[in-house]
Amino acid sequence: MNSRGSNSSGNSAIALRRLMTEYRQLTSGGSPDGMFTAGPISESDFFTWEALICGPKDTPFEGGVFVAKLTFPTDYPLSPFKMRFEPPIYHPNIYPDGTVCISILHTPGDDPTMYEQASERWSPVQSIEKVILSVISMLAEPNLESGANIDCCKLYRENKAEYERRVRESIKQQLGL
Amino acid sequence: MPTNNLQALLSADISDPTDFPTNELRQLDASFRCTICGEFYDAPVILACGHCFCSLCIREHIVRETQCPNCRKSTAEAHFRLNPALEEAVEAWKRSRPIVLQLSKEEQCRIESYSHVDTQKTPTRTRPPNNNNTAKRKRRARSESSDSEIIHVAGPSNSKASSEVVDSSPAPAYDRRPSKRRDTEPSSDIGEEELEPDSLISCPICGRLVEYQLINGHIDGPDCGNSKAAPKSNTQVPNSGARNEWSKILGKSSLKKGKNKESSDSDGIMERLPKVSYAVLKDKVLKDLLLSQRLPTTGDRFTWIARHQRWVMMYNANLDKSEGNRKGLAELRNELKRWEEDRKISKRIVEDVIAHETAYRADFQRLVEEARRTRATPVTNSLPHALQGPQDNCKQTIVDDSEED
Repeated sequence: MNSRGSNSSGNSAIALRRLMTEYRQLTSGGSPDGMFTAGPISESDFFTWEALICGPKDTPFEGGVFVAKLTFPTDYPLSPFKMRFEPPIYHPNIYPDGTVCISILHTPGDDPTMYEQASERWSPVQSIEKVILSVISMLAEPNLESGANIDCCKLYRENKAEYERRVRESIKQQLGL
Repeated sequence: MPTNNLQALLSADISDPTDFPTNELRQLDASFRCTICGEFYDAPVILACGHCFCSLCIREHIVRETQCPNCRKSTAEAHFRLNPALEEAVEAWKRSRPIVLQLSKEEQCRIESYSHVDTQKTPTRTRPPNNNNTAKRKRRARSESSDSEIIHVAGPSNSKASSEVVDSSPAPAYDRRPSKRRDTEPSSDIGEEELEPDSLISCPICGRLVEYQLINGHIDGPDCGNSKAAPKSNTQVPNSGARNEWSKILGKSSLKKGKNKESSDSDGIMERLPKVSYAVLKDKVLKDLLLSQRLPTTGDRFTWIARHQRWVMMYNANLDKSEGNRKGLAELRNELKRWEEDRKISKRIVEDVIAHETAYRADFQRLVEEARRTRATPVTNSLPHALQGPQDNCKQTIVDDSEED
């Protein structure tokens, strides 16, 4: 079928309404265990959000607070949003520029690593909350099959202690300790 | 960015499940909502796998992907089945939602204020107000004198038709303490302290006999004759004038809404529009196609295709509603127009390319410079392919997708 009509055009009113609903649910419901917060950066642009994520416990990321920028397409939720850590995190599944590579944020059409099951891809019933929770569990357990930072993957596999040391180091640096 | 739109939305106060104070009510409210758009089901359809979505939402989705968004079983338009029972339930919930919302909030307030004011009366006050069971428990504990009415909570639809004595869920919130809310009804001023909560008084608007304690809920509710005039926030139920208009369009009386079964296919006037493979059509045929639906033929070929595609979607989704809820063709055309305007805002089309280039030359040059600089850095990073390889792939696929027509 003609995909141009629907791919490029979203109904931004629908996207806005859904984003506002999700925002309200996030603010009033709160995230599980208070592991993250997320919301639009400014009231004039609801399509750019910022998320603050706490490093999960019992991982080298514990104690860190990470800032991620979420960019939504106008046809959200039919298309997934993009997530990018600013500053980037040192992690096997995060590109050196901070972009998160996780299957739940890929549509079935695009498969950058050729390793992903269609069943774990984006679908319109996913939500910001579910994605961020997936990212948090990804921080704890990297997926080495589909690495985004090859260096980091290699280090993780060959010398995990050194990997953890580097992660802790980078967190300390970010926090200015 | 559509800023005006956003401001309109900010003031529109979109409802969502978290309006309710308790988890049970939140779940109830959420179960009436489409998981794609997060709104109340609009023309709900069931797929072969049993999952349910708004007709328009799922139609938009399967243009890209012929899978159920929930379970990813493959699906097609032919598998859609209407769900008039759910549609009816949603309509009923939309009507009763404001009442339930108000009641639950008042209850919440009262529990809070109650625990402040007279501390010696209730023994069960120790729980926090957010606890789900507290509301119920409080009610029981408080209404020692007249607790007979608290248990029989009838659904709004049960009491609608016949009952003289209106007996519906608003009951508990108005018992015992009517003084809290005397802003709207004149009748509440007449010696309210003397009346027993369950003595009958006649409604000042429809004249029916109603239990005194229920009168507020009755006036606000759908049972009272007043309700047609009262503005309702969430309901899409049209007023009778508009309904008459529609019944003219539809060629049948749509006033007996909720009772008529799905009979659109036999209708003849409104049949579902078939899908069109636009690629094989010449411009002229395409134009005729638009004209046959009385749609505008402005714009280029891509605009026509997008317009017609959207129209087919909206038209067919409209037919998935039960007859009484359907929109007229004129209204649909208006919606299509709004959709196109909305699209234009989100994707501004450059008409004069050369003028655009000269106007933004400085910006372009700056961006090119920046791009060159960032491209230069990863090379020194000892690992350029990590950044470039997979990402390029990814972009490639997206481009392919959008060019396949």
